[in-house]
Amino acid sequence: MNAFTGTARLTRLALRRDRVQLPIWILGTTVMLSVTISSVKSQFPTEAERVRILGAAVDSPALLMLRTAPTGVGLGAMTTFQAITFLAVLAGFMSTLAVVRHTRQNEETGRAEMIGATVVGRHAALTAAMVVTAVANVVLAVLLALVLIGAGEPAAGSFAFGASVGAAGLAFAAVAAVAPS
Amino acid sequence: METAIEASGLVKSFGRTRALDGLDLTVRAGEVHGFLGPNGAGKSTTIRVLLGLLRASAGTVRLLEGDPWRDAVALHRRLAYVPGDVNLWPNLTGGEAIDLFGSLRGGLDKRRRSALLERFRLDPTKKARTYSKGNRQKVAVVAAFASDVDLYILDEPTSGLDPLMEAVFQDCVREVTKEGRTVLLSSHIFSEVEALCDRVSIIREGRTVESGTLAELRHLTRTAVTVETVEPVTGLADLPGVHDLDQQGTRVTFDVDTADLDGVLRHLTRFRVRSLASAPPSLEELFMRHYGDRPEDAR
Repeated sequence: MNAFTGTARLTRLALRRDRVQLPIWILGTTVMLSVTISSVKSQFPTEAERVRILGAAVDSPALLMLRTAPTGVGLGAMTTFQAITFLAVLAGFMSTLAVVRHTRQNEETGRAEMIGATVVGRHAALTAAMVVTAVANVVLAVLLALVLIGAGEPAAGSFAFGASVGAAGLAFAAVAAVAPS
Repeated sequence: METAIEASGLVKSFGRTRALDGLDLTVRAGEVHGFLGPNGAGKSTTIRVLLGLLRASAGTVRLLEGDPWRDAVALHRRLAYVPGDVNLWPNLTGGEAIDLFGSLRGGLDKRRRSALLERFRLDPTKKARTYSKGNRQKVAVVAAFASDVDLYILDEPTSGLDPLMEAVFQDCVREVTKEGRTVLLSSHIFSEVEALCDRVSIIREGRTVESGTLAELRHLTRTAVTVETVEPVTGLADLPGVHDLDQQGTRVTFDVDTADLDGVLRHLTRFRVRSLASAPPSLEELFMRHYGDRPEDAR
C-alpha cells in the first residue's frame, strides 16, 4: 500500500491540530439538539398547539423545502422537523472546513510540499483528512442519538436521526475532497 | 554511486507555459552543488520534480539511482528537504514539528536534534505561531540535519536567518559533506554559494546556461583590469576580447575575456606598466551576465 504510507501519522497530526476545534463543533451541534428538544417541550406542550403550528407550516412550500415534510406530532417528529436540516448544515460546515484544513490549507501554505517530501504516499494526506472527518461525523451521530434517547425517544429512530446528520456531514466532506479549489 | 542526481532534457509545461525547457543537471555524490537562477527560472519546479511532487512532461531524471516519481516513497527515506518559506502548524510547538518531520521521514537522531537546537538557539517548546520567519526556517533546517539521509535538497534554506545563524548553517553543510552526504543548494546568497559549493549550475528560463566548478565558470567570463602606464596606451580597443574600455590619460580600465588575458597583458607591457589591478569576476557578476540576456547569447 505504497500510496497510503504515512496515513496513520498524518491522521494523528490532524487529530492533534483539531483537538479543540472539532470537539467544539461536535458539542455545539449536540447542544443545539438539546435546546431544540426543550424548546419544543416548552413552546408546544399540547398536541393541539403542535397540530396548529404544523398546519401553518405545511401551507408554506418554502418552509417545507428547507425543513422537509413533518411526520407527526410526537416529540421526536417535532424535533426532527424543527432541527434536522439545520443540524445537517452544521455537520456540513464542520466537515467541509475540516477537509479543507487538512488538504488545501496545507497546499496553500506549502506545508503539503514539506510533507510530500517525506516518506508519505500520494493518497496519505487526503485519506488522513477523510478519516478524521469521518470519525468526527460518527462521534456526532452517536452523541445526537444519545441526546434523543435521553429525552425518551426510541433508540432506532434516535440512531437514524444521528446517522442522517452524520451522513450529510460525510457528503459535504466528499464534495470538499474532490471539488477544485 | 557516482551521481546523486542526473537530469537531462527535463521539460515541464503548465498549460502553455514551459517552466522547464530541456534542463540538465548533474550532481555528483558527496558534493555541494549550487543551483542558481533568477526568480521564475525554474529552480523550484526542478526541485519539485526531484522530490516526486511533480511529474516531468519530458526528459529523464534519476535521483539516488531511482526514479523520483515512481520510487518517491522509498527515495524520501534517503533525502531531506528544506523549502525557502517554511510554514508550520500554528498550534504545534517547534519541537513537535521537528519530531513530526522526523517520524514522517522514518526517525531522527535524538542527540543530533538537541545539539542542533542548541547551535541554532531555537526554543522547541514555543508554539509555531510565536516564531519569527527565521525561527520557522530553523525548525525545517534542524529537522533536516537531524535526520540520517544521503541527500539534502535545500531551496533557499537560509532566507530569514541572521548572519550568525548563516554561519552555523554553513558549518552544518560542511559537516554533512564530510560524512559523504550530498547537498543541492538553491540560493540567492552568493557568498554562501562561493563558500560552500564545489560546483554550480546556473539556470535561466528553464534551461541550464552554465554548469561547472566556480573556477571553470570564471574562466568563461571576463576579468576586470585597471592599469596605469607611463605612456598612454594605444591600440587596446582593437585587441580581441577587450570590452568596456575607459581611458583617462595613462589610466585605463576595461574588462577582458579571460581566455584573451595573455595577449592583452603582452600588449600592455609595451607602455611600461606602473600599476596593475585585476579582479576575477565574482559569482554575482557571473550570475548577472545571465540576467537580462537571452540564454543563447548569454556568453
